[in-house]
Amino acid sequence: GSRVAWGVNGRPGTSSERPGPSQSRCVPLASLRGGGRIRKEMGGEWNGGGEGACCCQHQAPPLTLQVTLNPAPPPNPPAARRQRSEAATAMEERPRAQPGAQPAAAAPSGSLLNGLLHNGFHTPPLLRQEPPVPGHGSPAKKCRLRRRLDSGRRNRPPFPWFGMDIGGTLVKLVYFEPKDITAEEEQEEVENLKSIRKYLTSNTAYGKTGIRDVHLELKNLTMCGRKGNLHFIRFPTSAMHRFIQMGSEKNFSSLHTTLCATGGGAYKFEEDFRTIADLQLHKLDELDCLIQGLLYVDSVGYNGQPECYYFENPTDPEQCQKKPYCLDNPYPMLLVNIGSGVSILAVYSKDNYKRVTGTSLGGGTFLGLCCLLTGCETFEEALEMAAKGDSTNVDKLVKDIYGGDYERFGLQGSAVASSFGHMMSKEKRDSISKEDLARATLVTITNNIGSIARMCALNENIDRVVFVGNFLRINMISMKVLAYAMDYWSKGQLKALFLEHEGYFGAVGALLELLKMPENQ
Amino acid sequence: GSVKAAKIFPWFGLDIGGTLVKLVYFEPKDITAEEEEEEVENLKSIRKYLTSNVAYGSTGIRDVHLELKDLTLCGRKGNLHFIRFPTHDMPAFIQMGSEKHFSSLHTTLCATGGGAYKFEQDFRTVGDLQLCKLDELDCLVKGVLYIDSVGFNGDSECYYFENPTDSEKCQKLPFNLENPYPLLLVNIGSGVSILAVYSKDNYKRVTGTSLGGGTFFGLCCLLTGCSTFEEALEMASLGDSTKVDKLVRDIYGGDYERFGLPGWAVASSFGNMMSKEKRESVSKEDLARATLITITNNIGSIARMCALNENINRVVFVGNFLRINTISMRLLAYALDYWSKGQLKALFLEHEGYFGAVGAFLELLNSA
Repeated sequence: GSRVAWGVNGRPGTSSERPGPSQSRCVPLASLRGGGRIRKEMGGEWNGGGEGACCCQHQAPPLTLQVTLNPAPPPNPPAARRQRSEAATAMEERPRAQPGAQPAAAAPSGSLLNGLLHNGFHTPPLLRQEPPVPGHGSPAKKCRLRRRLDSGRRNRPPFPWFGMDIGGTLVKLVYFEPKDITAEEEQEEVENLKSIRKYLTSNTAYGKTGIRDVHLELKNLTMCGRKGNLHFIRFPTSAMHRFIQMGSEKNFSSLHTTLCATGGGAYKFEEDFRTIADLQLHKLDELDCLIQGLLYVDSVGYNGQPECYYFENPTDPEQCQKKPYCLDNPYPMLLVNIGSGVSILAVYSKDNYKRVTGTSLGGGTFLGLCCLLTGCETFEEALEMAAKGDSTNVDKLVKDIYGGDYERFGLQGSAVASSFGHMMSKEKRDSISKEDLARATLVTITNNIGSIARMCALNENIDRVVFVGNFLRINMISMKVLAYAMDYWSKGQLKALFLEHEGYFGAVGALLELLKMPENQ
Repeated sequence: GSVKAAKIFPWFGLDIGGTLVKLVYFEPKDITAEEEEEEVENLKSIRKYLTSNVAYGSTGIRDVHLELKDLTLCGRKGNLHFIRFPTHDMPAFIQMGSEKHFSSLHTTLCATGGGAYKFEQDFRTVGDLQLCKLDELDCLVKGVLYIDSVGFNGDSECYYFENPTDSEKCQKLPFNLENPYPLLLVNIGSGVSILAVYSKDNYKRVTGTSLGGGTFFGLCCLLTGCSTFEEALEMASLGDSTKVDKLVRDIYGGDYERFGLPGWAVASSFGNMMSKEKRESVSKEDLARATLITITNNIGSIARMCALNENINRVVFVGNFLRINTISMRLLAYALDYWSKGQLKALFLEHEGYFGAVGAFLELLNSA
């Protein structure tokens, strides 16, 4: 095949060297059972490791502080605006983070608060630190402020702000909708920018296949000094050409905005973007973006709720509970990204990770095999069938071969010895249902991923395994299978963790990369 | 020196697996006229039945090409025969044992594999036979070491592939396994077990996977309508898996250089099959090929991870999944070499799936 040019600013993280032994790690869970620990407050009082170490199993959401300090939406701005200082006035109009805030350096804005609050580890460099908002002062002071804020503004890329992840099956798009647009800004806003904003935010479906995951919307985020909501949109990669066509029709290129894109499609469709829509993509590595996106979303939390969770009692339908997990000290962690295929990363710090391995038996395999075996056409259909099926009619279990357990090597009779192993028998083929086949496919692929992840965790000496990617979207069965398998086969040493924003981290990472770019780039 | 107590004939080793029963039978070639006179009728008839046929009933098969000639065991000289039949026909086999009064021979029947446990009671109640049950992995290791030590009628039991992906230049070459330890042993039957073998008495089961030969066979039957392993392999040999699988180049438009993934590598097995258009354009042969490649690559990948973890650089693949399955063997050879950058070597053994039965047979000869 043709070579793909690598033209993106390299990021560290490709080292295959193991990091030194001094990474702070979560205290093994066994020692913390039954204890809860509330996160300490902001401002440098957080102990990174040791006594303050995490792995806590909170009952209460750990981000209550952030919730109370999120300011109310801005009041209606006054009518008259001075032309030049629209940024300054916009800043003044934005409510203080805390009522009765002190002048000079003291009154932190929303973004600064986010920076301090996020998790106790150092401020992510991707969030802009705003210059302090002064109190009302002399005209000279306001003039200085305006100049400072003007230069601040040059550190922001122009709207719209998108992050895009073009995967093997799905395109994931995150869009930042500014909610602090002043009347003046709105007046100046070019038509197609406004129409994009309205189109995206007033619909939850786009065309025949585009969907906005409203439940995932992150509200009241402050990014680069702007306040707004982050929206999460997806559509099949097979509709990519239609998307590019739309970008061309809506004259997206006239907005002169950079389009940050990751995933294989950023390379595959780069030329199409250029020739059809006159758009230059800024290509980014998908695994870099995945990690940065994950760390960011976990740090800001999910509208006050935790982003990260696990399952307690995964195999007991009565007792099984989704519980929040505090990922304050995330390193080291094993990150298993299950998309069309699977990548497994060992993450040692925010800038240091390695791709341990991968497997081609991923979400695409599940969907592809299901379509062939059952005649279904969508992921949702496949999952629905799987929910009703019984894989033990399809799989050959240890007890089918041994008549019971294979005790010598600790293999329970109920363990699968040979996936689809019964299907060599015509009699059995005639007796199973499509639902059984769907279930067996789901369980086979899921268990294989779990098994490989477990081997990696063992080899890398990491005890937390975070599963992400759209294979897990609305896929409770797989999540519980993974949770159980990790726990069972490791005899309680490993913990399976999950994140609410599942498959969107790459796109978020791409957006974050955009926000690092100054306006004139 | 001491002489081992003469073991009563017939000498069998039985490995009752998830899909196939493997039977090894020692045919004595040094029977004296006197011995022959004394030989009881049913023992003689067993001997003649087994050695003068190559097929038994409608599903039993003797792999003549694997016969080991002129072996000397326990002071007796003879040939070792290798016979297989589907586990599905086990009840008929036990029935036959009952009809031929096998139990009157008072011989011990050494059996391994899951079926030694599963069918133990049937053997007793229907065939009046007491099985001596042995662990399948113990037998596997012992069987491998023994067969490799006696060699294959003067040729090498162990081999590897040079230039595995080049149809013209691909060569099967002998490999000397004299210093076998440590060894990673990957047994691909219905399912897969992976063992690290450190010495003849010291091994551990590292892990396993349920995506084995049974998965390939079962999925093929479902996807293509075939009904035998041979059919499935034949279809696979005619198909093109790249129509079915989504490759790295299908997603990236080329290589994913950053992490060393070439464009031809599979990113998502069966990943093209979510598209109705593509489903309608592939053949059954393509599906069979994709199933074979998927299962084989997955096993290779897991084996590679284990070899890395265990710090072992020789990986021996055995089990009946590889019987007449040159595609998988060459793929394993290539994949292991490629993804390990030449650090790992894939090895194969001629007697593939029979080592458990040989190990059970050896245990018979060892017992007092």
